[in-house]
Amino acid sequence: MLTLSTLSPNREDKMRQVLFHDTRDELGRALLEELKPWLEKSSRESACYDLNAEEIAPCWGCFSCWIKTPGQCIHRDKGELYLKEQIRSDRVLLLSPLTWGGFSAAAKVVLDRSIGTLLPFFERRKGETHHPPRYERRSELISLGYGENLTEREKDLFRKNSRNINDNIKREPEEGPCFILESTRDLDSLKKRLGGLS
Amino acid sequence: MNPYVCASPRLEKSTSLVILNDLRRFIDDREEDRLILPLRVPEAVEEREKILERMNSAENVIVAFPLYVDSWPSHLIQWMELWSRFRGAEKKTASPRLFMIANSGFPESEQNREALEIGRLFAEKNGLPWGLGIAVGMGGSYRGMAKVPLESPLKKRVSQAFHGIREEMSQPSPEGREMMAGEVAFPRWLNNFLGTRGWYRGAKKNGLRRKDLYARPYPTR
Repeated sequence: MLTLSTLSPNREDKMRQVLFHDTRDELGRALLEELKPWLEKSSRESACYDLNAEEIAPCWGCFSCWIKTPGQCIHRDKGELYLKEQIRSDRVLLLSPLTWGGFSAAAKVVLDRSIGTLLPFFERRKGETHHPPRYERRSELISLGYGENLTEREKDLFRKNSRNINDNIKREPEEGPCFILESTRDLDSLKKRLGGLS
Repeated sequence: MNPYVCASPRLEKSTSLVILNDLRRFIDDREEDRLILPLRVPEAVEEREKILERMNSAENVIVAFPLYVDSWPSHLIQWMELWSRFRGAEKKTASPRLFMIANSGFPESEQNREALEIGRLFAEKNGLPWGLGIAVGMGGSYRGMAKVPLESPLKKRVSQAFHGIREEMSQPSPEGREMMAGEVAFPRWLNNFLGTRGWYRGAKKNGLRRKDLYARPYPTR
């Protein structure tokens, strides 16, 4: 579902934020219900996409987005819109069930389909090889993993995985913010940290 | 039965399959053990369950996959989500030992660590014993050496890692083994140089100039 909040003069200094969510269970729906109004209030402009509303093709690893139609995915489905949204937003929030310390399939496909935001070449950062970004302006990625009765190992792995993704796709800031949400109460720290507000 | 599962979206053209072919030759080369996970999950339940049953009833399952944005490609996650549900719903008692081989084009095999840890956690959560995770860097260079025998010094670390799998299969340890690196012996600079040359060649084949690769087709505002 897409909701675009309207532009108003006092929101000019705020961010454009986009939320992609895979929320199929009760906790996911409760989190989404609280997140959506906050997103609209705290953004200059916002958009919200339900990743289960329409299935998008998985990345085929064909590298067309690097050497055939640079920057564009060969699949002409809703994934193309998701890619554009990531590029034009200041902040991307990805809400997913925490799945063995990583993202769910529905959420991961959004990341896999975004490699066109990178160039195929190599560069060294923090002692590792990565791909340089295609665009000068980069959005901030906020990883939101939710679930009940999560173990410390699962949470720790999700944090590491989110940091790695941030390092690799070189999104800002350097330390990719990551939030573990075990109940709607955990949204308070997210709202406090991300503000209303920027 | 030990299915060697290729979980690359590039299917027959993948580095994962080249690695698995080497491993099959090293351990037990039986055609019936070859399994390539379809990129799209079949709509027919029977067709889907046939694949899941092959994995579930095995003694060992070896899954090879490419690192996509620091983790499993989405279709592998989808299959593992299905396998997890399949095991839960069917009250499956069989417990194949899970091995995973992650490869990426980057020279540092270490970049595969967390993706393999996710596999270990999957195994724990689903009542499967963990075998071993192998991290392969310079995947593109490995693919270029598909015909190089495992006995070659270029594949010394690969065969050491494969020994690890074979030992773990014959004498399983209670907690499984620590990650092993299994890349080919190749200079980092040459890996990156050949990789970059490959992108330029690919672009030329598609009628593009070098500078076209830097295109920015979408607005940033």
